[in-house]
Amino acid sequence: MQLIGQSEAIRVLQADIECAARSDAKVLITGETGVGKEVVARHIHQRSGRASGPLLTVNCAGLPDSLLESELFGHVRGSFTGAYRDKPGLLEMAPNGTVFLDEVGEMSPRMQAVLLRFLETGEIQRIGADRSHTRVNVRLITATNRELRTHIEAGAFREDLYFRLNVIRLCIPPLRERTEDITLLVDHYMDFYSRQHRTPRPEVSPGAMEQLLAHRWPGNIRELRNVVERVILKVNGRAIRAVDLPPDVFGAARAPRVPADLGIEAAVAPSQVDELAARMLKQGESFWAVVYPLFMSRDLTRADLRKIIKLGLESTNGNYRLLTQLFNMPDDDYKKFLNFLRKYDCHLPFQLFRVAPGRGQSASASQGRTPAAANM
Amino acid sequence: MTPTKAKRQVVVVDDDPDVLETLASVLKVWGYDAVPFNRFEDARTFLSESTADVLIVDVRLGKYNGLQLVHLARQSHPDMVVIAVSGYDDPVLRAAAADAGAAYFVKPIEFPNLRDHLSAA
Repeated sequence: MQLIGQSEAIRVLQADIECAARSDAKVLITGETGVGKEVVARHIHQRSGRASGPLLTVNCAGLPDSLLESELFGHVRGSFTGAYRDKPGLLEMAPNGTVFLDEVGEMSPRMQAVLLRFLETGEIQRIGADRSHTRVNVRLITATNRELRTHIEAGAFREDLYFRLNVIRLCIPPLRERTEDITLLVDHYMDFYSRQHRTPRPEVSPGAMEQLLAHRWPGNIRELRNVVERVILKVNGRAIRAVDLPPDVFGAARAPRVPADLGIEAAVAPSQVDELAARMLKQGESFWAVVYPLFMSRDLTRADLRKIIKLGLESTNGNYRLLTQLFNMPDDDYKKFLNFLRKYDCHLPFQLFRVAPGRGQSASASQGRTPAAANM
Repeated sequence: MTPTKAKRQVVVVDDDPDVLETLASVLKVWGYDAVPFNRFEDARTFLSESTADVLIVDVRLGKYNGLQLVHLARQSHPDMVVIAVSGYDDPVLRAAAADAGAAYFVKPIEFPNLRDHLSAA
């Protein structure tokens, strides 16, 4: 795996990776979804003195507290239902190696406290154990696609933890801020996927390249990679024309940006909305990872966000509590989610989505105790 | 006490303008050539092009940790004397500073200690 690009941003990033690899300091990698945070973590590990040790990865999003704690710190037999034997955590399984915590911004306050204590003592206490089990020599690299400073101000992330994790900070820029690298990346993945799928490497027509350069790439390199792979399979060796590109990429050079605050019906990026919804509903990714960063970076309009919420509410019958689950957020995020929607005026009235009126459920959406009539 | 030959250059980085100004003026009185910065990025650029002797850096610099500057500066200036300054006596950051080869001073800085540290280095 290599870092592809000649932009200034990539050169700075490479210098930062070298710097990080030379020390044992904790590293925080920031960047939108799909920019390659795990690739950067791998680079740091492989160039560091820990290269011969393991690199283990945990994604903090979507795991309930107890499971995340068990993943990281392990548990002893009988500490909870299903804990049939002692199990070491990843921190213990990476002696002289690196543990990469992805989406660290999703950690609950309780897990933040547990991690804070570990950083202070370096000691592992397995769940259910009476006392600290062992000390470990492990390097922590963390990553987030959230702007953690904002979350600190909102009280959702501990500032002391932030400064402990953020000794060296690497910012990976979104692809749209380094468009000069797009041609190189397209070339690279053309070669890669042609070889992988054993098809002749197609030419990219100037018209298609124009579209690729103009697209905003909300999903960054991951999106570009997927687009290249799909189109290679589609054209089977012949030259790639603009019309061969997926609809949201084709037309990028022409489509005007939508004014942000029109109603639901005005959203003009249905394919993107559908794609984001599918990532949450089918691939189990979290709202905070899929929709939130795009919205905060203004790659998703209010109308788009409303459309996504509308899609979700249609299948939960207007129940926001269920919507939280549907979008793969921990239950504790319910209030945070609602506050977020209210703040940006994207909180749609649940009554619109009630299919069976008159069942006395008007309170249940805000209380969220009972799943509303599940007849959809 | 006062440096003898050419003035030693001290880069000072703090996002609190009052602290920055006070430190810089005290260093000047002591006979150092103080170069103040209030932004991580500016200090980084300067350090990559200069031959400063000393770096005094606040740990909390906006979204950055001042210790990152220490790690970056170490690459081009292995002999640089570095002092990390923090409003909090955080044991983890104190250890991280030591790993980076930096002394750790807790605010408010006691100037006699600072002067001794600089002249001993």
